[in-house]
Amino acid sequence: MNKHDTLISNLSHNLAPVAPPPNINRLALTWFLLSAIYVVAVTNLFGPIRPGAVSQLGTEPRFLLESILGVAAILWTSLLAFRSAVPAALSKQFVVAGMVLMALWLAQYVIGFVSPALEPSRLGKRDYCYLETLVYALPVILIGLLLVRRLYPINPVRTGMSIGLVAGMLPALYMQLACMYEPAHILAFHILPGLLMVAVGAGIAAKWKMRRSDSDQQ
Amino acid sequence: MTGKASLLGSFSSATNRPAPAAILNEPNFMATVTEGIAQKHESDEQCWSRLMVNAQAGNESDYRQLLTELTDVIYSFLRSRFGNHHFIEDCVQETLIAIHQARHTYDRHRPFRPWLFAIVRHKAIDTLRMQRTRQKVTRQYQGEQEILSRTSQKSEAEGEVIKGRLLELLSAQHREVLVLTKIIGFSIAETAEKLNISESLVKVRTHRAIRKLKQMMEADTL
Repeated sequence: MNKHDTLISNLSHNLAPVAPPPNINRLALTWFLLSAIYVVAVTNLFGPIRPGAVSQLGTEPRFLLESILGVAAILWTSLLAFRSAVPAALSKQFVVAGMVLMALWLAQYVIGFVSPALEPSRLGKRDYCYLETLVYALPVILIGLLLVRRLYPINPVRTGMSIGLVAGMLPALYMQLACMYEPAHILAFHILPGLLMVAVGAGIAAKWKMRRSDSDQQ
Repeated sequence: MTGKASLLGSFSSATNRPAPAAILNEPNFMATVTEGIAQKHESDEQCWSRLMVNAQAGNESDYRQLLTELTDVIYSFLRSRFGNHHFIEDCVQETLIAIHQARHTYDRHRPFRPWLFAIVRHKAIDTLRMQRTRQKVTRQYQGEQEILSRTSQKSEAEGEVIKGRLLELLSAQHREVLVLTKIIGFSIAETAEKLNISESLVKVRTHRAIRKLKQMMEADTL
């Protein structure tokens, strides 16, 4: 018996049944929706949203477009993150589409320097919006990573980065309604902390990857 | 009719089959072969998918059969890309373990082959990256090292090692550091000494070679 036969017989001995694989899109969608509800709830809990922000969605088409693009980009990235945790479930086209959506959304704020979607004002400013963005993102990252860890991410750091991006961008997007509207403020105090969560996600995933390879070697 | 031709003619008529050259010239021959390969792929695909679904339900014998069949497939896939050496052995083992760990992610509604080869590609690069210490491989490959220690036969030994088509696609600089450090198992210092370059350059070249290999593996279509 060669060593492959021994390995195969060890792997197949007392083989435990495994649960059928979850519908990956449904799982990603559920995580996205629950995270969005959590972000909205916790943001409202710690301070009121900007007066008139919701009605501006109906009266200002560009502001609505900006928000819809944000939701679409974050939702797409959620699907991308979960798909990357299953071998061969993520295509290059899907990744490119996600990056294009994210770039389109963020480009709206850069365009906003020249032509803002809303008249910039300090109305509704929250004192610690950047900290709120960071703190609210953490539970979302942790839950997301726990979920994808149960799958088989071939590149855990990349998956962690996508999870971090979604987790950071959800509160950043909601700050568009909850905090003051001014493109420079949005980019520096909402989007930048949101993007920092990409590094946090990558860091946690890298640590987890190292621990996994240590346990594999033992 | 010459004697040879008449002999061939009588053989063909005796067996009621056209001569080999005639078969190759037949317009439908290649199409038939391609179709046959496609059918084989399809039947393998269905068979492996069924075996994996049964394995997910806890069927040991189906799982054993699946892993046994996949071992050969993984072997030939890796051999054609990296050549025939000890690294392939490690890689097949690592891949079988990875398949075991990832078996719950196989979805019966998705094709089996892309799922399998995504794992194989990943594990090939991962295993190559992990081939760090010389100690581990020296025992198994003393023969190779003995050959390499003799300068006159170095290129001959490397030639044996780099027969895989992916390794051949790497630049000579990248290939030689990769072969020496990851496949033969020399340390960074030894490789630097052999190639007469600095240790940091060996590290940089090795890193770049692996990254290049990874890109080529990702772009690789079956």
